[in-house]
Amino acid sequence: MVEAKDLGKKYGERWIFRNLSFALEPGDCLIVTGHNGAGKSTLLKLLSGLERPSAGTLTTTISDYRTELSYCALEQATFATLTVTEHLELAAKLRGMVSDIPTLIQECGLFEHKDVQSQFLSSGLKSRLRIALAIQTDPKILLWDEPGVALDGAGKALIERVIKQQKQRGILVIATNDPDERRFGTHELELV
Amino acid sequence: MNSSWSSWKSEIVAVLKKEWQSESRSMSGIMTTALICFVSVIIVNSITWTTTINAMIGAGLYWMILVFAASVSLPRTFLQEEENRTADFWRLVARPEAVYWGKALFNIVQMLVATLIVSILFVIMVKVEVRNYLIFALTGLSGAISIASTATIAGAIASTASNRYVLSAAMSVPLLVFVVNLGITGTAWSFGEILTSGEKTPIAMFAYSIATCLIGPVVYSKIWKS
Repeated sequence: MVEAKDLGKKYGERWIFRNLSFALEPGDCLIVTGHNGAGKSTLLKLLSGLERPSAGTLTTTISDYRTELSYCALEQATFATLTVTEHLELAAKLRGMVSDIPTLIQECGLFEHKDVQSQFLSSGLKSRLRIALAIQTDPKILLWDEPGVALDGAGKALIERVIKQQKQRGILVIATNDPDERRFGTHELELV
Repeated sequence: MNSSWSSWKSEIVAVLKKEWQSESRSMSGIMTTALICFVSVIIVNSITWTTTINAMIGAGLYWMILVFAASVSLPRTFLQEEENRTADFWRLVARPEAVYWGKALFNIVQMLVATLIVSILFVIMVKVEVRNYLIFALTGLSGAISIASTATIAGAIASTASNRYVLSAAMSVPLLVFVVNLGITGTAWSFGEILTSGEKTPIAMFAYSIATCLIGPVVYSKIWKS
């Protein structure tokens, strides 16, 4: 469960948004829309715990953020000199879990690139690596910022598959303005 | 989830391994440190070539080289993560204490290698006579750990600030003054300078290292997601 009450965030004296309240249950998919700078990514960062709210409260039922919450965003960089497999091995060890990495790599269409260092991956393949890292734990809460950016047709099919799986498993929050992705939502929140 | 010691160990080793993989493929930190050590000893050698320097000045020069090498390379482990925007990876998948310990251990190993290089070059190239090799080695060993742990804590605290490089350097100075003073005393004693309790400085430096290694993860976990 995720519950936000009167949530607000400001940088300096400028409020990005304020008085946001919503509650999400497993099976819910919240689509966050809004113009550039409206605070879509900021809201996802608050939900992920990467940033703290300036006002209001945020409650979740997760007990371990490493395994139960995943955040996937284009601005997340990968380690330039680590390969795809090394990224997933590192994340699994840090999360204290056993992961079927070969299957995950196959699922995300990264098999041919599994031994390639991240600095030599295209932006689309880096996005797939970020998706693999995000779904590695079968998270209860998945936060996804602009899923379709930089992905080709096969990548979009992967997004669709992941979204469907996540809706069966837990909560999904997507920040997007793409009508193709908005259709997956069960709720919509427009930031103005 | 297994939160026992073996789980902690596995996480710390994973961070250490990642640091080594990154470093061994780019060699930027190791090469920078080695180059600074080498050039610094060459400079000291060239300016003291014709004179015999006393134990206190010799020890001061030795520690100046160590601190210089450390301050350039060590804080990078944390500062670079923010710059390369990889810090969020750690924040999302790891525990702060594991990240801190992994990076601190990597810094300690790096500093031990640097100290070994400087010590060998210094003894060979600079005209100082080591009278007590045991105290010289122990002071170098404890000093390397102290400097590495101090630089790590300064880098970790400064990592989230916007002017992180300046802040890290500014924080390192007061923390390192104490270590350097002790180090100079111990090293000068090993060079033959008669100083009260000079031979006991490695103990004080080891104690300082333990304190910073214990405080570091606690402080880092507080600023982890600030």
